[in-house]
Amino acid sequence: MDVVLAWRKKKNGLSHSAVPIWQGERFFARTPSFDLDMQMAKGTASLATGAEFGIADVLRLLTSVTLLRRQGFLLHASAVLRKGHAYVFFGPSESGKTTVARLSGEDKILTDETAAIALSGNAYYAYATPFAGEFEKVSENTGGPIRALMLLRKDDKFAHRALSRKEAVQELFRSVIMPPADIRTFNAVFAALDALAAGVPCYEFHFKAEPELWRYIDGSIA
Amino acid sequence: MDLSRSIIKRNGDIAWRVIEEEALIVDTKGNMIYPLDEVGTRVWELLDGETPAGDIVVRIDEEFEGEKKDLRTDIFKFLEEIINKGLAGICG
Repeated sequence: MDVVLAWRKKKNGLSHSAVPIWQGERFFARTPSFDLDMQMAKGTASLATGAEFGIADVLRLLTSVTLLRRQGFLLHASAVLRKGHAYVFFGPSESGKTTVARLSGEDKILTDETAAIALSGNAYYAYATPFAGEFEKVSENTGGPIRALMLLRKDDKFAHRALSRKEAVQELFRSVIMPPADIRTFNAVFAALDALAAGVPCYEFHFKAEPELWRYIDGSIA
Repeated sequence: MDLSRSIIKRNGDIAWRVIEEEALIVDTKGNMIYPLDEVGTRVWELLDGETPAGDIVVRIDEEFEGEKKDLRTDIFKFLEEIINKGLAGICG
């Protein structure tokens, strides 16, 4: 999708209702920080915002809305491409996303902070995004089918537990970067999370920051 | 609070989905997610704005096995909780 941004300074006195509206293939959102009008079929977006709104915020927003068309979303997660499959490590700040990425040796790190998750054919894929964390670099534009979703728990040992589909949806929801959302958007994200959790195994993964991390994953999970 | 005759309805801005017979409900304003067990899910489904709370207790008693003693108290407590969280409201 090609996105054309029309920048203009936001007028004072605009309503800050923060209520997004879908109208067919058109998406409007008016928030305290910006006004957005995306016409998905035309592949255009118009954004009105003040100078304090950064380009990363704009891209993150456009990406979130666009991913919904592929039953996808942005996830606070690191992701590693290993033997052609993506492993997605998610959780809140300080849960160890970057730590796991650093332990990935020769495997390709898709992201250490924000993964794009989307349906491709019948499989969910994790993709790199330009929204890096501590790595501070734009990743290569690539991705892979997701082999496992791992909810990170720092520990002094390695252990894992399979999450039920409901637990997986609940935990994943907490790590989704939501676009401005009305009830339709929430339900779309909900449906996408459910489809993801139904098709990809999700684990609570206790780990310690040591090189045998991948040996444990290869031997016990993969 | 005696909710027996109260009619309670799910709020319209609440997203919810039943997964393996148990619901997850999301407060779209606060971005909070709440898991319900199987009984809570059935109660939630019955908050249709038509069924009095007292009738919900009867329906749950009919549909689920188990101790009857605290059922009414437990359901009313659950209803008070979701009303206080803004997930549902008394409409009649």
